[in-house]
Amino acid sequence: MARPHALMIQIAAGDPRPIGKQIVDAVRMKIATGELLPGDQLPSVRGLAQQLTINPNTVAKAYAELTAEGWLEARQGLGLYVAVPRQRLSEGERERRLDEAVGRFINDVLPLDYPPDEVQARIAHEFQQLAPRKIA
Amino acid sequence: MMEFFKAELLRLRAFAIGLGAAHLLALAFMSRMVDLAQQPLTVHWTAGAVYALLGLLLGLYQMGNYRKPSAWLNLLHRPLAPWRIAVALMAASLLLLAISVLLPIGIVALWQQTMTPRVVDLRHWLLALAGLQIAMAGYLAGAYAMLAERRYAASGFVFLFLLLVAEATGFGALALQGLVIAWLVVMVLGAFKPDLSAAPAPLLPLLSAAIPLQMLVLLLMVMFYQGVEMGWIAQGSHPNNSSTPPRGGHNEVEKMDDRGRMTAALSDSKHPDAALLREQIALSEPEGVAQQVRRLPQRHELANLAPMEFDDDARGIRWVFSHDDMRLHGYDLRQRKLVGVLGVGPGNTALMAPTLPIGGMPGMADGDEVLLAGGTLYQYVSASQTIVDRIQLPNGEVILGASPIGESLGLISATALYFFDGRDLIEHEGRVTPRMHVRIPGAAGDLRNLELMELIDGYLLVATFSARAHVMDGGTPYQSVVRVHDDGRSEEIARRVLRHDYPPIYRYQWFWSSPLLSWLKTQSIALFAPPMPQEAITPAPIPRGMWILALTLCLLAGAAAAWRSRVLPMSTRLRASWIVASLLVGLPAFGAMCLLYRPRDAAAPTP
Amino acid sequence: MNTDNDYVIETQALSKRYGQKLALDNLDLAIPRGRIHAIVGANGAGKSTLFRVLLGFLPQTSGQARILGRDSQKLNPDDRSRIGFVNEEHTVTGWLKVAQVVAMQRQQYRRWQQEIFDQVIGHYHVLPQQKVSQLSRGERAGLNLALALAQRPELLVLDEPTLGLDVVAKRAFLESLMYSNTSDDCTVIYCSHQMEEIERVADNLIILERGRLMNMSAPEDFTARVSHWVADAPFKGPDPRSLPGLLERQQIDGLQHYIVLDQGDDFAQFLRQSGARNVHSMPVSLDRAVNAFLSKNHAVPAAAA
Repeated sequence: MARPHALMIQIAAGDPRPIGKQIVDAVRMKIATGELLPGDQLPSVRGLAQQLTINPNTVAKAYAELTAEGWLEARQGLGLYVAVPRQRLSEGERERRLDEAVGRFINDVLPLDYPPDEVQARIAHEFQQLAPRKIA
Repeated sequence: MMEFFKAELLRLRAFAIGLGAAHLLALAFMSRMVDLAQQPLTVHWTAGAVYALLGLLLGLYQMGNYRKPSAWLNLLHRPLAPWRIAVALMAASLLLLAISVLLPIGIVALWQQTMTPRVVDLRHWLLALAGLQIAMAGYLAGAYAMLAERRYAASGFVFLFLLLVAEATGFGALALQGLVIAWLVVMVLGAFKPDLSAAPAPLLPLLSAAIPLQMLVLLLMVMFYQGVEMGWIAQGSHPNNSSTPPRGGHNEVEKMDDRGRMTAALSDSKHPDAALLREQIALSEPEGVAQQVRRLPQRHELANLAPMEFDDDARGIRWVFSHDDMRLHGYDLRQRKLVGVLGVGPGNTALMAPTLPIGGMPGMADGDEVLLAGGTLYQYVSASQTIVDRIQLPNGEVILGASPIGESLGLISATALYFFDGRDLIEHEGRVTPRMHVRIPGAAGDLRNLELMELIDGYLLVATFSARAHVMDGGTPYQSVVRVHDDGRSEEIARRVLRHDYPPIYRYQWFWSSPLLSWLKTQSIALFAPPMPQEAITPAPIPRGMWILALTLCLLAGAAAAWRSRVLPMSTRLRASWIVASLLVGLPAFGAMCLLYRPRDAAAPTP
Repeated sequence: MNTDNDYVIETQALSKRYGQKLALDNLDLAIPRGRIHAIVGANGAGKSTLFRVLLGFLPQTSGQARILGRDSQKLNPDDRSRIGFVNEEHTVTGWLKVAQVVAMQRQQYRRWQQEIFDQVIGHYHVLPQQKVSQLSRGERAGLNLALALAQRPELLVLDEPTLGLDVVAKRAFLESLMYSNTSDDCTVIYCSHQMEEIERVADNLIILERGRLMNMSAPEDFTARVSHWVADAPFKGPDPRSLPGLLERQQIDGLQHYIVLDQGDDFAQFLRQSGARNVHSMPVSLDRAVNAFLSKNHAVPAAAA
């Protein structure tokens, strides 16, 4: 029986995002970059809470959201595992979310006053850094 | 509960041991020099005050530690009924006071009994208990003062005043202390609740807190009147302080010299001999006969009015009276050894009453001592080392004063003046009977002055009864002139009624302030008290005006209570009870109600 | 155990007045059973008054207060055994040794479980023979928590428990609180000023201000209501009094910063209409949100929980 995969995420003190959201984002990122592979077991709710020194309910909510979105699946009696990647979102939903993310990104980056191609180059660079298998 | 008790003991342990050691050292040091069992009254009062103060400080300290809001919450927010916590804390303090007050006294008494020839009676052992009880009363008053709201925190001190002025002695005094402690315990338990700001709700704790508070309010009212009296004095029209007292009043008579008093007593007389007697008074020397004994020693009393011992210097023996066996115990002063136990006569029978040695009388041998024992006068004869019964007043009367009257010895009791022939006393060796006696024409408690003048054919006795003319339990002041003939017949030949210098409103200030509480005060002070013939009084009936005033004030208090209690957070039943209490007790109850309950600030009306 | 009662704490129009000052102002509070609830408020917001009233140590001026379904003024020893209360001065018996305090608590609380105490106290270097007054602040806080948890209360109220604790002690405290077995059937009420802690610990955020309930919701829901807008506005921008939901306004480097409550994109519209350019919004941290909320003294109805 494989032991739970260590989850290397941090809660940033100054991060304005709620803790639950930070966990969800971090887990999603790790799955997307391939650090967590389908079939890897996640730490228990209690365990992760203790690791991060936060309320177990927050972890439970984050896990629930991830499971609802299809990133994780619960195996009876065994715990939570990374799900086989399946696209659960509809085209329209994907489109919408992409628009939102792009919009947020533009908002954040624009005031920095970088030339657009430098920004684009940076994005391309980041994607290159990520492992080949991801974004399903 | 036990854990709290033990925890508190631990906390106060150092305090108890330190204090106990200091106390023991102090007592030990003093008893090397003096016999602590034979100290005058003031020493006992001082000791009592010290113990009460000690207890008071302990109570303030202990409860002060817990009283702060967060500490109080943490003390009482437990699965333990508050009264149990209180009992644990009080028990710990009791034990501590026992160690620091009772134990040292007991140890010194034990030392005195076993290592010295001094007399240690049961009553001396009981002093240890009395010390503890007084300290405990002080502790409980202090604890209550800390726990109760500041407005009525001082209620417990009423009991300390009571212990100070109470007339009970011996076992009665111990019982009174016990009652005071029981009452204070109920008060403290009633105050020991989560919400310290509220007045106690259950009936018994409420009564236990309310009655002393009403007494306190009454005390404050009377003190206020005293303040007014001060103003009166300052203004100059106070009867006691004006340069010339009002004519025909008792103050005027009291200020006169003895001859003047006698003359004044006859001033209004229509008796045929009056003028003649007035002349005789002007020519002769009056004899003053005074009631010297204001308090009588009681058997098993805890404190001494005066040391009950005397020295036979001729033989170097100190004789001490023991209450336990009612006999004198003597010990050799140089050799510090017990010499013997002495009773009356060849049978060594017990003396009739607790005995005070009052020195020698003219005509007695060196070393002899006159012993005053209630209604009996004994003589200790040094030469034969015996006690002889010399005088015994009839009818169980008590000797309240002794003065030489010419060749005779005058002994005054509560009801009569007895004349004993001087030569008889010196020449005879046994019982001497009075030559004659005169009934005192009034109550002993009212008697202020007694003048005696020897006439050619008898005596003239003038008695002035105005001792209590300034308070409510005194009778109407008057002077009485009694003519005593040689054959022992006596007749009252003049009676001059004096005027009250103080108006009724002054004399009855306790009464009209609250008839009920005034009665309670008198009863409490006299509770368990021994009979006191020297204080026998015949109070004048309470004037109707004073009754009307008292009842008017009671009605006023009831109305005030009804009006004020509208804004107080009280159930209807409680409100009614306080209105009734105010009607029955008067203004002190209204005052107590105002102190116990504050208006609950009504919240602003919400839109 | 009162199972038919869903609320551990319930107040209805609870008011407490001290002379002119209203410490509790018509407070309607209903805290459901279970979870960890944080109560936040500035000093003088009425927190300590509230608990004194709830535990029966202070009478209310008007209104009702119930704790564990029982009237606050009528709590009996059995009720009190089910409610734990921890504040700085919990160990009123400071002169006792730790072992003696434990023995005393064990005697008094029937449901005492030594394993829980041992587990919690294990986080701290506390020896049984030490006198309580000699412990450091952090150790004392840990001891108090251990004692409270070992009592297995239904309701545990912690009043500023990590005040003055160093980082290590704080973490130990939070760990003991959140991860010991007892926390499961125990409702915890946590009063604190430390937002960072509250964010980690609380399921429910209750904001009290001047004796009134200002907010009761999950922390992230509250944070979501507050947004931070930055605008480049001429002449110091529109009149602050005209801005809807304004909590805080700052001018930094010529730009206007607005922290607002319950405002959506309409706010951006409003700003633009007032002549602002370059209007951007950002999310706020819980700390900032609560801060801004409390610094603006207006009465805002609490959002539905």
